[in-house]
Amino acid sequence: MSPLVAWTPGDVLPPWQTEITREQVARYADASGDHNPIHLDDQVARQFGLDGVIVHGMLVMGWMADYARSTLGPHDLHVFRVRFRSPVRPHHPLVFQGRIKSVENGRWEVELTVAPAEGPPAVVGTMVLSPPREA
Amino acid sequence: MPEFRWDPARVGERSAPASVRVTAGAVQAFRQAVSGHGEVGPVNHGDDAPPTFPICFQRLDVPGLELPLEGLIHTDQQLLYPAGRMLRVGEVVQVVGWLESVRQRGPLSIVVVMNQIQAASAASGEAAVLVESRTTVMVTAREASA
Repeated sequence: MSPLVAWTPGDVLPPWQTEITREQVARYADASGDHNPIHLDDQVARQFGLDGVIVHGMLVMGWMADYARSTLGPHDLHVFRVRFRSPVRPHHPLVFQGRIKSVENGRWEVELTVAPAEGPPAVVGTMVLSPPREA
Repeated sequence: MPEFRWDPARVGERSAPASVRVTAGAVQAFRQAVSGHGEVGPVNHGDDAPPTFPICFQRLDVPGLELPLEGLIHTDQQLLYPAGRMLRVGEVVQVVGWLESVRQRGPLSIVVVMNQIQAASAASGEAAVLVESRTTVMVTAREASA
């Protein structure tokens, strides 16, 4: 892990190959208070035309923040926006990727994607960061 | 199940502020739940809550809006941190929400709800708004007839 100031435009973050488990979804439901059955009950999810339960978008977004912190080191976060393009299923392989888009006026803009094993990213995001003010 | 209703005259109307405390237990549980490696990593987070923790405080039951419990799809989420810092364990914050806009797209409605989280007592020189959240949901249920 290099400090944020070592990253320059075009640099690619080391990817995370991972998956999100049903247990992690259940734990997130408890921690966040979002117990929507579409994330927890396959039968309800199917009633909405899905193949089964889907991961909370906000859980994926939370992992994206963790991915950025783990790879880019401590930083101050100013902007974090994501678009949820398609559902993320538990126990399906995922790859988290990121790239430094620009560095201007002491602000690092980072593009992030979360994609299934095949097909376009399910979640895309942008973060604006600066080096931490406090050591 | 509540139907989808909204009142154009109440767009922008602020909810009464809700006062909430950032507790150590809630932050710890949330941090573990969003830790992608399945454990709290080597980085020392101190008293900072994770970046997406503010979602626990946000409300979609803002003035002029009734959303169905089911058939909602979260399509976009934006979090701004004007003070350049995260929420911190132990602080008390005020949460205010409002309906920003509703757009129709065929049978779907695109609803944008804003939430602002303010420091109960801002440190000198710090922005009063700690987090501004913009949540976009797609409502698949039809709008209830007036």
